[in-house]
Amino acid sequence: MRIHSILYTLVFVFSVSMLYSQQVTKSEKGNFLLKNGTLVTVTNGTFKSDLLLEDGKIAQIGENISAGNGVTVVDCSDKFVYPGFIDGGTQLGLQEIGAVSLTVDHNEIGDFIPHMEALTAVNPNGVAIPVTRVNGITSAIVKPTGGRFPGTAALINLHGYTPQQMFAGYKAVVMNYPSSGKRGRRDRRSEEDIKKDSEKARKELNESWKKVKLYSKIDAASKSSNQKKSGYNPSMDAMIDVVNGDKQIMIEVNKKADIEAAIKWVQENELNAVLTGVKEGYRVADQLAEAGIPVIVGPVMSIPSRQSDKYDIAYANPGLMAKAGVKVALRTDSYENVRNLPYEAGFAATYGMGTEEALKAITINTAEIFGIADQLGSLDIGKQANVFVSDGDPFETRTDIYHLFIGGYKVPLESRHTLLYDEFLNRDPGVEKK
Amino acid sequence: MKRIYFICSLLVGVCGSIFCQTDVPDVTATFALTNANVVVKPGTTLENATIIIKDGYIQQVGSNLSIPFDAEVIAADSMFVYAGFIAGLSHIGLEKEEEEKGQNNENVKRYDPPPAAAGITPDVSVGEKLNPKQKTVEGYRNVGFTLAHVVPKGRMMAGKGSLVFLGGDSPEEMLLLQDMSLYGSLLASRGRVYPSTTIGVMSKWREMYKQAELAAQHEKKFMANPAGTKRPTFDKTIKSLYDVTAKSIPVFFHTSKTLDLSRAMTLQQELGFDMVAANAKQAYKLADRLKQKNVPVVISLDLPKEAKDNKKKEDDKKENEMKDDKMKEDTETEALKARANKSKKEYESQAAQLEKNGIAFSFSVTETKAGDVKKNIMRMIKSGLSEDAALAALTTNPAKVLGLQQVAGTIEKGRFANLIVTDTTYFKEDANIRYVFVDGKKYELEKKEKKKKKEGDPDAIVDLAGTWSLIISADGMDIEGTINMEKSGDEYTGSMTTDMSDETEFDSVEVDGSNVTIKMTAEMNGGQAPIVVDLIVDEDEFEGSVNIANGMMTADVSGSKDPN
Amino acid sequence: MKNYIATICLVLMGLFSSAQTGDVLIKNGTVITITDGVKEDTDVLIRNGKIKQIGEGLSVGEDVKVIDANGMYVMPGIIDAHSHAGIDVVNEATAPVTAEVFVGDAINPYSVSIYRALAGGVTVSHAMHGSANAIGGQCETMKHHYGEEDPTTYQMKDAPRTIKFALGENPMRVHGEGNGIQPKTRMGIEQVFRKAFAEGREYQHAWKKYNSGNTDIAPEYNLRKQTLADILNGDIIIHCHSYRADEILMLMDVLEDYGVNQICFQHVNEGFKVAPELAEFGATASVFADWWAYKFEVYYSTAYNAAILTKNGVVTSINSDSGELIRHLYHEAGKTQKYGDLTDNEALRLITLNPAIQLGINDRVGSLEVGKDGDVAVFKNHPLSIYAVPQYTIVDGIVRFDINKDPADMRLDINPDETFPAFHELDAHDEHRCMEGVYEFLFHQH
Repeated sequence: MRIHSILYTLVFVFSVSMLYSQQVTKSEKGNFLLKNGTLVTVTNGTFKSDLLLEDGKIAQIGENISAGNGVTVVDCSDKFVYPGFIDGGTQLGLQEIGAVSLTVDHNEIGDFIPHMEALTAVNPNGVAIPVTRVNGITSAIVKPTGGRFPGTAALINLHGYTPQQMFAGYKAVVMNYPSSGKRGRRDRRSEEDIKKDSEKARKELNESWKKVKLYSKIDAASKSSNQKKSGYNPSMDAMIDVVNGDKQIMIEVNKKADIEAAIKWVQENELNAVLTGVKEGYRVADQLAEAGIPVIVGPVMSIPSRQSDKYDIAYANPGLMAKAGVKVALRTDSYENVRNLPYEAGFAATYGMGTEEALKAITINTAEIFGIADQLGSLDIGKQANVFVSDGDPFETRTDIYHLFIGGYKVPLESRHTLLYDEFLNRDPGVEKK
Repeated sequence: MKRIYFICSLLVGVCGSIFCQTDVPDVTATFALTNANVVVKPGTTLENATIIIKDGYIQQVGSNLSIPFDAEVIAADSMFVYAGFIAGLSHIGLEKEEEEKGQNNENVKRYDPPPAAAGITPDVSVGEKLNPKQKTVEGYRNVGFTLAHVVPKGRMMAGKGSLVFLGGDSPEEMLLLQDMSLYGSLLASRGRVYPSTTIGVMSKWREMYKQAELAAQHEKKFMANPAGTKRPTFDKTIKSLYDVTAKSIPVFFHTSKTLDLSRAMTLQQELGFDMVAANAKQAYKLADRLKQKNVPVVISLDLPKEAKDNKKKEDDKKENEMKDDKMKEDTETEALKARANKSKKEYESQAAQLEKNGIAFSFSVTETKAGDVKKNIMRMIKSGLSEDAALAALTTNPAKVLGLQQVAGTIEKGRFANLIVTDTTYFKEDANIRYVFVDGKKYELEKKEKKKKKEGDPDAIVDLAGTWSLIISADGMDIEGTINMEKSGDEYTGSMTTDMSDETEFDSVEVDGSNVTIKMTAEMNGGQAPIVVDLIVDEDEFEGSVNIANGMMTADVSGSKDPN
Repeated sequence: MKNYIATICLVLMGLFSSAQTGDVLIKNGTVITITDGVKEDTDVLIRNGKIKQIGEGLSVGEDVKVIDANGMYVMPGIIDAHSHAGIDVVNEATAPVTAEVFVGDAINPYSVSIYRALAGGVTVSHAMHGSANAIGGQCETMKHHYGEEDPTTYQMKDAPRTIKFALGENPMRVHGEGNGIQPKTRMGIEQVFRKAFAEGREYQHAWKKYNSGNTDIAPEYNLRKQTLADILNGDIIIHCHSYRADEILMLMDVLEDYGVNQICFQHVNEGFKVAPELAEFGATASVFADWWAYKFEVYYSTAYNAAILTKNGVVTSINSDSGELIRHLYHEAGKTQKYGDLTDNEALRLITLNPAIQLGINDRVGSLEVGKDGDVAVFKNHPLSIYAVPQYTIVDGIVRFDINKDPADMRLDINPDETFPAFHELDAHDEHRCMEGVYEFLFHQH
């Protein structure tokens, strides 16, 4: 039986890798002049202008820019130019097929494993990556899942042949804050048991945090005194920058009471933190704003967490927090349908956040939270050339995207989904039997 | 350690009282209850009347009766006599059965299990399972029940119910009528075998009912003309439904959830069996359908926890501490609280609402401890149930539904001598039942003296260190044990051992003057149950209470420190 | 002896005829009829739960509720051809064939998910048995009368019976891998159908013989076989959970052999590959807008599925199969404009008339036409726009959702012992109930 399943797995992995190798049209490297488009800069308003992409950067914005040698002109009249969207939390490239565990690479064994690098396991040829790009998403956080400290997340651009080529300059240690909520429909624990479990988990967290702090103290002492500390301790090593506040910690937390506790915990330990999920953030929006801790919310299209909640509370949550002064970014928390990020933003916009703020929540806010706003998140000179061109509001499903640029590349808008469409729309032969 | 369910089963399951058996013979079966207020039936009371009982029957009721020479005379001056209560549904006298294992038996095919594995045992007769010594017989008798409709525990078709006197030395003596009902439900099988869901169970009811109808026809045809007729196959399960399909016995359908009631009504309407809605908790929601179909109701005496404003502030505080998501006293919280309290009230008002709708009901005690019967009836009365209707639900209504109106439910000549005698009207909070007569047999009850609780003294200084002997007493049974306490610094640690449980270490010991609270955790049927012991210590002695699993069990405890 | 199920149905129909209906006039909206174009500044009048008039400047007495839909869009109530909302049980996963069970027996009117669906403009949903078994249970076509406590008032009167079939991984996993019985492969699944239909036919014949007086003793009654016989009789529409092209072709072959032709393929992620065959058979398809890759059999998918099927002449709908998606099917339909450029009317048909056809209720619902049920959804902004917000949802002429009268807490059944309803962390399985009730089986294996 065992042998069989191993064989099956081998055969399967082989066949999957065959599928990966299916090629889409190659990206085109070059400099591009986007002529006469309406630029939605996010940071400096919306206006008609040309935009020059040179050496992978936004080089010029202005009217009547002339195309130099070797610059490809892209006519954008009647079109809109947007900065590429950034998804604040996904498993894109870390998972190929949900139900096939051997294609799932984001949940390593262990409760304290911050040294697990999501970037290592990103498959640059994951079939979902081109599928994602068609809606204007150019960057995404790839994030490990699982226990208390499941690993280190990374921001990637959705183009490249190696993880390092894709890496977009931001990493964060992920933590799942102890939850006092029910895990789901099948969680049969009593209220007291849940309470007890979460208290125990918080206690354990504080115990391990003591060790983390001690370790970083020893580490600092070892450096300053030039004495070598003993042993191989990669998980602790991964925490040092977090303790120092040099590296961001991404804390998944959703329930009101847990968010409150997490805020306190972050403040006590003086961490550079971003909260993720934050489903009941609207209940503590003022506290979040006061603490100055940013949040990454999503999926927006979620059912309410409590039976008594208002039907649209998950749609309204980002807007309510933004209104209270919290810096809000959005995420899909998906792997295969990260392409729906603009629609997530659209729902947030519709249910109180407004289009402008929702747009920020998938561009500049996200970049600012990650400390890379000099690179991504808006159409500003000097930023990376992550840009797309659409024929309308990208939150609308009827809007089409015509061109997409990542770094110095014009990336074709082809994916398995479009290829199958091309092949099967008018199948030949049809029903005729041979 | 920590086998707490032993304690529980002991508390419930054993007749620990030494008064149970005696070698001294009874000398007469004739009794005269004189000068009493006789509540003949709800709404009708005879003052200063006498009741003569002989050989298990009520011989006479009235004034100026001559007392038979062989009568034991009970001067019931100023007392009240009621017809003995009748439980519309109960598991009285049945052993606490071990929960069937949730796991699948290897040999059972999930898709085609034997009927018993699927919870389908209509052939089970509860009469064969009665144990006269079972603690519940005495327990429910002591709160006034004299007759009970006892049904087997089980699932989809648990088996046949019987009418049982709550007294007697053998099952035969207790049994009045056997197999007079089928106890059914929509509960799926435990072992994850077909039918494993409500929808599977509904289908199975339909199929088996139809099969039984056809099988009965077949059998009839065969008996009438056996030669050449296909021989009926013998299926004891299907056969045992003939009484149901012929409508000679009703189905008491377990419907404590309103939706189950509605679903059972759907089955009843399709199949046409005689149905009684059993263990209902919000039956008034289906009042129209129940009335239209003439379905009698046995409501559950189980109620939600009392609304907080009825409880002590102390509990309030505890609960608040426990709820970490106690949102600030905002409007949402207020609204949620109000809805929960309204819901509690709705459950409490079921009886009153049925009364208002003219739907007769009796009480089920399958989910209610004997000790809670009166308390919960009083809560229903507070919610609008009239005392007369409550009494009817305890006497005349169940008599009617169970076909006993000729012999029980009222105090009239010729009825069974099933009576209760109380020192004031039953519905006063502090009323005591002094005598219960079952089938002409007298049971005398001790008058409960309310224990005066000592006041704790927050300024007292006590020394707990050492070994303490203790006695936990509940429902007339005593469990002995010891507590070991050690002191280090200001903190106490320790453990408790009893006859019924292994050594259990304390989670915490809190001392506030002479008030001591000990908390520990016991394993209980695979889960964990908190045990809280509240003590007031007076030098080398203590008394107090034990609370197991958040009030699932409570017991008094007293103890003293061992010398040295 | 009469057909037993038929008798039951007659009894049920007689008993629960007290459907909830009302009157309402929706004024001055942009009326999207689906079957007769889009009409500006038009009124829709509903009387006794039925659409009585569609026109300009309609007036009524003061007793009739009037909704001012000026600047709003008025469309037929949305219909979800694949849902598990509002039922307590999804899978009776103990056997590969459980045709006899009926999820309509487990309607839960207290399920807040019904209200949440209403808040997304959905008036009718097809509450389905799960996909654990090759032949699962019968399904319920449900009207969203949220607020009523009697589950029978949710059953859509006169809607045809439907039944769930399932192909591929789910039945293979539950029974083959989980229980060591057939089917463990797609070969096995075919034979499960063939055996079941053969038994159903035999049963049909045995009862026919008995009913015509040719035998004296009734055959053994078997509700499962009876239901299979009903399928062969054409009394039940099949809705089959399916993904791969090969298995879809297989089932059409089996059905052809037994002369059964009413089938809607559900999910049918590879339907686009066999669209010509589906069209030729007359099979319909109910798909996700963009779900894919959650298991191997949906790895080879395309979000253009609905468009390819539609353009190949297959009557196609977009369903939710989820307590979340059901709340924005209008948005899901909108995705077919992204993936395949369907017109507004084509896209909206996917969530109105087409699912109605698949459920056999298109004479009652699915478009705004005089005489049809008063099931209407009123939107601020065009329903296919991301900025669409449902304002009113009307079922049989009764306003069941009104955005201006939406107290947060819409529970109907309050647990008296729980003040604060528990917080549930997101769990993808919670939203996707197709395999509900199955996890326990898989976890509790020997």
